[in-house]
Amino acid sequence: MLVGSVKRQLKQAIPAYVIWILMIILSAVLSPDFRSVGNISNIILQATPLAIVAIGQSIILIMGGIDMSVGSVISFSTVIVATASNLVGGFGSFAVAVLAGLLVGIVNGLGVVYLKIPPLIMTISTGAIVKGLALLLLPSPGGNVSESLMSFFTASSGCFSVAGVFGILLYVIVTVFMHQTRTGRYLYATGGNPLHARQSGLAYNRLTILSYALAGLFAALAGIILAARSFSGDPVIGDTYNMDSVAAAVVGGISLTGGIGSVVGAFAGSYILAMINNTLNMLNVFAYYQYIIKGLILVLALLVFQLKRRKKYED
Amino acid sequence: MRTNLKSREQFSKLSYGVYLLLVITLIAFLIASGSQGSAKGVLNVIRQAAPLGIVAIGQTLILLMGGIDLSVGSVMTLVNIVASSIMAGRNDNIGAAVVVCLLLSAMIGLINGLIIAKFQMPPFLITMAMGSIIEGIYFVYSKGSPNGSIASRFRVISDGWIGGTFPIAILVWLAFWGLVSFILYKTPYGKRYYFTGGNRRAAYLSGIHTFSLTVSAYVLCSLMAGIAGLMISAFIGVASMSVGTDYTLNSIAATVIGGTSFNGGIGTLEGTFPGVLIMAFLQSILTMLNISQAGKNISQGLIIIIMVAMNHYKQK
Repeated sequence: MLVGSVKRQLKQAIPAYVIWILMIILSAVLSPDFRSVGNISNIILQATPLAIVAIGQSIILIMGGIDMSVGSVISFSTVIVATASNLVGGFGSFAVAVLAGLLVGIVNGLGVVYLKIPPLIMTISTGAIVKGLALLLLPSPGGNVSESLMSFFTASSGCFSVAGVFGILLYVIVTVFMHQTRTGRYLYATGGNPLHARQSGLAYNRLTILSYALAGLFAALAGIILAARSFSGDPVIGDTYNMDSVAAAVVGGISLTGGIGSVVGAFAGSYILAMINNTLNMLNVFAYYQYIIKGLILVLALLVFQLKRRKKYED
Repeated sequence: MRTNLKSREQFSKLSYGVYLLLVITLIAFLIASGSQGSAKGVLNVIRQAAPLGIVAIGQTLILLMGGIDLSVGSVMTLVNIVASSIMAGRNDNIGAAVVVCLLLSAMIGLINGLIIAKFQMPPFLITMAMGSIIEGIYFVYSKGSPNGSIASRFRVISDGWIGGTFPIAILVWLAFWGLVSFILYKTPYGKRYYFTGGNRRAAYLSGIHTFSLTVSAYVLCSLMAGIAGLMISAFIGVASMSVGTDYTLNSIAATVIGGTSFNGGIGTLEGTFPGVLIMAFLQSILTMLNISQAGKNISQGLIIIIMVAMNHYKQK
């Protein structure tokens, strides 16, 4: 229904950018600490893994599915990077982690398409399996991330690290892919109305598998950056990213019913979430309040964005 | 796929396959426990499965109605922490603790249900967000290090054996199973679960108040999770930050083993019962083989995928 116009899809992201810019201005005026180069590069480093997972989650949501295995794929890829470095070298472990993420994504896609398992259930299940595998490989946080991989991603000048620039680059590529290529448009069409998409001859199965594979790929990349940042593997580090990535996408104006919104919005969404985290840390709020606040943000964002949308389409 | 309700119900009551699977896991359990295998060992595993059994009853109701509840694990941990801090090991406080815990869990279910039914939000995201909020609440409440313990007299419901031969926990589980089965199969209210799950729009148009049914289902499910939380508290006797974590997925796995469909309207409680036992025996086998946590996760995932795929092909 919105498929015809790129502009209308991009419009969905405007509220997120308005909120984000207001947040930046407010924090910059109120807190001198916020303006420091160290803090800004810190926020970018914190937001980048979330922003990268959110790309994959957004593609899936736009296509009309959901991926609850991204958190486990992130953990698994940090574990792979931390254990395989000694065997295959820094960039070898990078390649292994990316392949593992792709594989999990393809399995998700195959399950959804051929076994006809609802996406939520399929991805929760593969998520549990992958988390189990991560725990088998590395029962407790630790391991050894290769020096070269770490110095590559954390190298920085001013506010920008390689990881941050890498994240922005991925956003540019995926935005062009989603809005300017035929496959991207097909993904929107599939999410907008799966039945019509199939009846118009779109390769529904291939598109579904492709989008889950991409989600797995981006989750693996996020995991690699997390491992490079923390210099270790952790079999449970990704657990919170399932909910956070959906929250980032929803805050960024992407609809849960598929076919509406733009990946561009998820970028602002992830930075909003990361900045809220950062502010809470700076205000010395007891760390556990963050669970409550994250949950409330997701519910609120759902209420605000989904309700508005429902009314618009019912009229 | 959409056949009439009668044949769906007949199909869903046909769960011989599940009982066969149960016998196989039971034999595997007896082989794995070797010389230590005994009737008492089997009863012990079933006794430990009682909390899962009770929370799976709630999860079955929700899935039948066409929803899903991912907050049950957090509710159980919250109840565990609140109950131990109120009881503080004293028998006089049992009543107060039980009332507070059940009210808390009912309230959580009410909020879940109201948001989901009123605003027509996706249930899994709302309950997942609720799970995160509850997690934050019990972390803040206990300041990261829970204290208190469960009163000795209360621990009887999970630790007690009647005459040293039969565990009380199994009786408690069977009592709730019977009660909810009666409500589900013998009252008009229970029938509405099948109608609403089968086709919500049609149910609404035929005069079923789907709004209040949805809310009451989430309240019931949370209450079951609260009771399961009390059972597990009585079982471990202390407060623990992670006691409920596994129960969210385990309850879903146990429910789908029993043949309940994610699309709603198909499933039975007498399928869920062996489902719970299968999960319990499987996980105690894994614990005996010393691959508990990783093995638990992998088996949960594999079981859900295999059972959902199998159910799908049976229904075709």
